[in-house]
Amino acid sequence: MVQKEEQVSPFLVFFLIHAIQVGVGILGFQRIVIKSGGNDSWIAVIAAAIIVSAVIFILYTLLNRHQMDIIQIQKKLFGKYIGSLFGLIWIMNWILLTVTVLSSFVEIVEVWVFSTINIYVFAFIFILLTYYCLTGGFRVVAGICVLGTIIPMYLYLTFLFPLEHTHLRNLLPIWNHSIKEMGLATRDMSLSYLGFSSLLMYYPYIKNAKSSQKWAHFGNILTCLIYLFLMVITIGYFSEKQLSHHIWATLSLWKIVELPFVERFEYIGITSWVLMILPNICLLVWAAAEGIGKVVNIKQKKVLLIILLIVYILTIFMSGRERIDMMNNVSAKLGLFLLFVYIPVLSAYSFVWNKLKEKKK
Amino acid sequence: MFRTRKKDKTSAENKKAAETIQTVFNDLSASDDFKQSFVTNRHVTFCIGFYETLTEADILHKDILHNVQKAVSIEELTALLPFEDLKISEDVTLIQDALLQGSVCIHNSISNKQFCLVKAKSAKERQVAPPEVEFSVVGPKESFVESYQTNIHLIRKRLPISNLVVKERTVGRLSKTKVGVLYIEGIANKENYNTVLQRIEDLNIDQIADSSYLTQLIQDNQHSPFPQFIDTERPDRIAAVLGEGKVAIIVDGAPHALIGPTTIFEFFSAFEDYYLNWLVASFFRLVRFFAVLFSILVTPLYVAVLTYHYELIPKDMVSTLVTSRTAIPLPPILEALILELAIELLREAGARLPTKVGQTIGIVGGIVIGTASVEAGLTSNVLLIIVALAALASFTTPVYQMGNTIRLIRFPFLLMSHYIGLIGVAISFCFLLIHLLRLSSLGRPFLEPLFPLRVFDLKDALIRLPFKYQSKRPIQAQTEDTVKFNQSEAKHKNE
Amino acid sequence: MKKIFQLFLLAVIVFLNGCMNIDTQILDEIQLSSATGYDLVDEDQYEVTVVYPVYESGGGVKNKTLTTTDNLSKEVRDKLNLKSEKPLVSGKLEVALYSRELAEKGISLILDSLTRDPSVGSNVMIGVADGSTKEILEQQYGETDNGIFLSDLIEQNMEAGVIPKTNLHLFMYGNYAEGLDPIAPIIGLSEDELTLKAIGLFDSDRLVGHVDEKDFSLLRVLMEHKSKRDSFSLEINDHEKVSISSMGTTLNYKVSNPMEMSDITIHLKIKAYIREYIDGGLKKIKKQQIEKAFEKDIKERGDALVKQFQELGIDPLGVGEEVRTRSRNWDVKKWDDLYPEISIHIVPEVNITETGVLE
Repeated sequence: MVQKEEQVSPFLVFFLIHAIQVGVGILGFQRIVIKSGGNDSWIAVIAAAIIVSAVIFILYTLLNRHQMDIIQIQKKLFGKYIGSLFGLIWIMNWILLTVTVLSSFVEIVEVWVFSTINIYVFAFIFILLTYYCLTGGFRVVAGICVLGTIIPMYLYLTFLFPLEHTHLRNLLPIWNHSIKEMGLATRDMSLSYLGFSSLLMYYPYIKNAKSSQKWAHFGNILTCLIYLFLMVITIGYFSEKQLSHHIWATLSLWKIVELPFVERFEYIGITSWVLMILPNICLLVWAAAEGIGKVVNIKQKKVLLIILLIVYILTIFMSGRERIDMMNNVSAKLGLFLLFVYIPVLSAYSFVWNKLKEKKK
Repeated sequence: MFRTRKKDKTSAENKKAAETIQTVFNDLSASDDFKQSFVTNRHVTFCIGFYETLTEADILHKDILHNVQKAVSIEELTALLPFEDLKISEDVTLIQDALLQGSVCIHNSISNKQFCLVKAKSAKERQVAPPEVEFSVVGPKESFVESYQTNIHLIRKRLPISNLVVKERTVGRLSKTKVGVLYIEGIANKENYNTVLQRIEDLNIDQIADSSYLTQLIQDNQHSPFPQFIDTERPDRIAAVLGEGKVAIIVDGAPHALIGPTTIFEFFSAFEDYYLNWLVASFFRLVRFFAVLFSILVTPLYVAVLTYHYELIPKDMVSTLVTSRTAIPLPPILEALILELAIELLREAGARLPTKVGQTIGIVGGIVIGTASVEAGLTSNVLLIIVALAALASFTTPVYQMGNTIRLIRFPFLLMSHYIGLIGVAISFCFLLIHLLRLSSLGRPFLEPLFPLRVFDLKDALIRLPFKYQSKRPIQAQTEDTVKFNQSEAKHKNE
Repeated sequence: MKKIFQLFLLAVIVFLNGCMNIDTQILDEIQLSSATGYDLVDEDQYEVTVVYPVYESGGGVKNKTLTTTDNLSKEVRDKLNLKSEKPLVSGKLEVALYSRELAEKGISLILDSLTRDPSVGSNVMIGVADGSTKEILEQQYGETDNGIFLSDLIEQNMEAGVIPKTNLHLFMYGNYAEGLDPIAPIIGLSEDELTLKAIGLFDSDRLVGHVDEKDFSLLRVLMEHKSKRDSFSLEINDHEKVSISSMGTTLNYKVSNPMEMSDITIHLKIKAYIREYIDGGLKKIKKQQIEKAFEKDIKERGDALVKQFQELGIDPLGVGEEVRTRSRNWDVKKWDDLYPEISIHIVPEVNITETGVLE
């Protein structure tokens, strides 16, 4: 199957999971969650993390049972044609997520930094970066996930500056929202955790994949802590109504940072975020390309070029707040459905299927 | 050239029976420094052939001629000559090669077709001198010279163990350069040295003038600006990395040896780091890493901020920057490029000219051009400081080749910073990271221990921990024996 | 073939980069406006004044102003650009001043242009001008940029513990918050000298009242939950004057029945040292007596302040926020009805720990 040299250590799953969960979403997730969760949104952050951890658990039981990637599992369970069809849905999901990430970032750059930027060229440069990364194989993708996590870590320290203007009493009173509201908030929050479904594709690329489960959970916990940290600061820093006007609350937080040698940290934040979203794009495109490679037998490089072309065209097409919002919605719904509905069902089905097979024997 | 030689070989084989002194020496006597002389003693006449430019006259006169006058036959001569490595041969090519390596060939027409080869190579080589490129205040003051023998001698002296293996190969159809691959059996990974040997054997080139040829020829990615072998002139460094399970390559005629597999972090560690207290050494290393980042990023950041992101400048610094730029008609990118190029010119001129003139050029050029361009209003004085500091920072890299690379990769950064501002800098940085991730040295990851993340190897990467914690060999080299010394025993002794 | 393809791609990037189409904003080719002022001309016409520094080669700074009138702030910028030789940008804006008349009408519409613009920071100082902003901004204050001068004036006083913290972000926070109203310093010229005259009290975005200099530090300790270096002085009697400076204050709200008509007590603890003590004869300092005197004074003034706020129907102290965080049935409308009627007491506790180097 996968060559031993191409496999990576199990603990890298920590970075693979974390890097893909933290993307553009983190720059503006607060507004959407607070809409229904209010000052209790931080609970939604934790709740979503717990649910995601449960899904990761389900993913691992499924993958451990079959020791192959999702496309192969579906082919095995549903036969060649239906299985491949379901595989295509996953691939579509990943491509959509990529486009969401890329076009959201392009939008941020347009709004915050260069209003007249030529997005054709700008998106193209990202596509080139991705191509250069992906032709290096899965090891390079994993590498960029590690570096894309470690290098921008310093950014989290800068969120300590807004603390000066933070009213932490805003967190009180704890739990004054209804279960329904919290449910909605949790759903909205879990969107920010999406993307880890790529685990379904890179599972066979991990040495002793079974032992990597704990790292996946740790990665998820780190994401949760970072979101929690940001959410608490945001709740304290903004008043609720004020926040509803800020599309990118995280970037607005940075506006207050003033250091002796640099002011207006949001520009540095956006710049550093290039390194944060690159792992996202690379890993998702990699998963899609790998998936197509498993469905139909085409050369990996050609698949890659085709996918990048699709991503490029969609990104160009999806510009402007409304279209990006629409796309966010579609990809979020698809992602939520696949992970939180389809995967548990599939897992149950595979369990029964396996049991039946054992009985036959 | 190669063809004709091959032809000679076949013809020589054909006429093996008819070999005379003529067939052996004929080709060679075309050059005037090939001498033939006939010594006749009471019994026989010996014919002696040698290159006078390659042999030591002293040996020839005192040892060889002296004994030739006494001998009756070749057999007797071999017994008389005080040399340990005497060869008797009748193979024409072997004889010719030996002559070209500085041997003296003795033949006597009576005693069949035997040719006696005596090594009388004149050793014209530099004395072992203190290292110039990797100078260190503390520590040994020896450096490699252009002689293969001496270089290996310097290493063996430091590792007197039988496990130190030297594998010799000859590279270059014209230069016939001796290349030695050194490793310690039982420590170094077989794969590593076999890869090196394989790559050297596969070479198809006419000349190797220096070890840097070899770096470029056998490294994993030949199009990368980053060297993937460290070159060093310090025997102590070679001895240390051999002990870590790496492979060293010595090239005859080159005063630098190569080390592989290596990581990018090793390029920024001076060997002096090991001679200093670990805190001091770690501090210096961190300074060096900071210098590299500073050198690559600072001018692009200046250009990006001044061209697009004025918001980033703190309010108290605005006036300084604006005043320094008001009279300047050029956009920041041109201003920066002019200065960067000026610095490159100074460096290049300094490198090409003789040392003393070079120094003068550096100082005069630096001061005169710098001040004049500021006064003429071509560049701002703030940028002048920045560029000069960046240049200074790029010279702190201990390995010269890497220093050059760093000077080069600033330019793409600079251009991108002009095109897309800070985001351009970030994108270039991503390209650089991906490139480094893709690089490998002898098939081992180049960015280790950052990726693959090996916390254990961080002991000697960004910082250097005390020797007590350096008890294991780096994982990157995939050594066969991973333990350098037993840590607990070492502790015990201390107590 | 592969190499050629890669080279081709490289060429494409270089080429395409040429048409990246980004507007450059080279530092010396733009006009950095450092302060803006808004005056009301009539119903919905503003007069906008923009100050920008012109740096002279000798190191001096000259301030230039541009003025125009319109009804939309950004359109104003286009109009101003007609008068400027270099494009005006607002990324280094330090201060935004609003005339009193304008502030009394409400400024949230104009503030929108500041908050929506990504290039404007959150640390911009918001101020109310006593008189015409144009007049204030046209003055030359020393050798510095007017914007920096004004923001330093406010910031220095904030850091020295004279006035409560304020900036664009905090103003917007108060503007949107349900149980809190923003404040902004009122600046005015008196005999060609710029002074911080009072602290303007806003009802959401409308200026409705002000607090005078004598109550600055009191307002500050009541607004900020933890503060330092606030100074109070008091004439105990004809020949005894004391001034103290706080080393740390803490504020504690006691709300027995939130969202109901029950008393709210604000416990204010001040740990202070004596800065100055003038007495008739050199008497020994009677710490307790002084503490008592201060407590009485602070209570009187504090209760008066709160009364004033309640009468104006504003809540700069954030009493509403305190109630909100303590109750599960928060309702803005109900609170707004309750607030003017509810009785709020201040219970100060002054604790003098040091007396300076003298005793």
